[in-house]
Amino acid sequence: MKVVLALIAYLAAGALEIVPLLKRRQRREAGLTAALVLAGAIYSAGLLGGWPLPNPVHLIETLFHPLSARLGLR
Amino acid sequence: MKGRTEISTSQFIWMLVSIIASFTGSFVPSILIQTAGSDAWITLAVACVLDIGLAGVYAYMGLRFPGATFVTYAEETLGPWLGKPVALMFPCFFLFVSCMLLHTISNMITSLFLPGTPGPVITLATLAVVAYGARAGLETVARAAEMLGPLFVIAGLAGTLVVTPHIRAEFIMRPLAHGPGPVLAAVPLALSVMAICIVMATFQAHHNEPHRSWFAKSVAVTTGAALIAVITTGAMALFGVEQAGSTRYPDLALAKVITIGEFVERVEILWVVVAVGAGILSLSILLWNIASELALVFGLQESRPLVAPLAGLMLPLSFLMFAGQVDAEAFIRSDFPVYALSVETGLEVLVWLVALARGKRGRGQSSPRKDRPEWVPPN
Repeated sequence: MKVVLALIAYLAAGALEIVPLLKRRQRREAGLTAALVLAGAIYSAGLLGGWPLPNPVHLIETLFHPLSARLGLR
Repeated sequence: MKGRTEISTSQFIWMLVSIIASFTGSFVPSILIQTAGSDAWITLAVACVLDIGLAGVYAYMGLRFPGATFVTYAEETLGPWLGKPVALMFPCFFLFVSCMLLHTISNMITSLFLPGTPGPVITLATLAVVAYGARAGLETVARAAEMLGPLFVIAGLAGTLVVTPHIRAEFIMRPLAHGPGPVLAAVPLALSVMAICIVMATFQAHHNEPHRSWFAKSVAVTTGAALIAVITTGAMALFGVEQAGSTRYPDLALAKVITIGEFVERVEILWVVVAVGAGILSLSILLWNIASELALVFGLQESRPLVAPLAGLMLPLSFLMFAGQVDAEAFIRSDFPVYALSVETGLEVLVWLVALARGKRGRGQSSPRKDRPEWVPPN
């Protein structure tokens, strides 16, 4: 239920931004706004639903940990 | 650019002071004390000098490409295929550090003052104010910074000054007692957090005196570093190095012991209000900056519609990033400095060297790019 509510909230809030952009024929702005709303909605729903989502911190740790370990940062 | 917002040198300085002080004050003090001990102020001084040197590169590039931000000149210098991904790394970096600051602010309020309130409520309320400020545009947040920045600095200095009768100077009177090793070990962390104000690359494009941007940045970095050094040293002189290092928020611990005339006590809530206010202001500035940079990367006519969706993305990310504050501190201590410095220093130096080698120069702010519609920053 929480997941559905989160998705509805994001999509409703997103529509408030996207519809005026489409009316003004700013398709590129509408596209990027929709992509950001979708990412936020998926992350929020995933967080509430316990889905395994990619964590940016894990990505950075994977990329930079060998160098930070070599530099002795811990 | 048509409708270009301009900011004064004073606004430039206070926006950067707010960013430096809130990020450094939130992430660094306890880790810095644990690593450098009573020499934490020397670490901050070294990081301050290095940061001013790095700002010289940003200021030079800002003058070489007048009216352009990092995103614009990275693309012009490196070409569209390499330039666009490199340019995109900057808004991603600022989004990442903004989520970290949001996590820290929410965690501080929830754990210390409102333990019964669910974390998402605090974060949502904070984000609503942040997004409102960012949507209002650069001019509005710059004016707010001009008013709130001095308040933040005065509150920090006054708070430390009031507790000076209780401090024990012997706690901090042995500079470099353990040699320069601990001081140098903490420099990457301090520099990586202070250098978040590379956001000056965007401010310089809006600065009404761009030739004074380096001076403005130098004043801001020195003020921010001095403020954090005074608070950190004050906490160590009051509680001792070990106890101050084991305190998660030394500035707050310092504010708790303030008494004036034995009837004005427990004023830490005032410090929290000021510190959270500076944090919200910094987040507003960074959110505006992320939206502006994304608009430039994707060639949008306006950046305002991106602000609310970005805030909506920050909400879940700030919860997902770290399991708790201990987890966050471990990341800030180990991998964050390498990641941050590679973006703040590595990418800029790369673009700078390529621009020098290829003889690339900006076309001036009066000649917008031909391959994209003219971008109007939000007023």
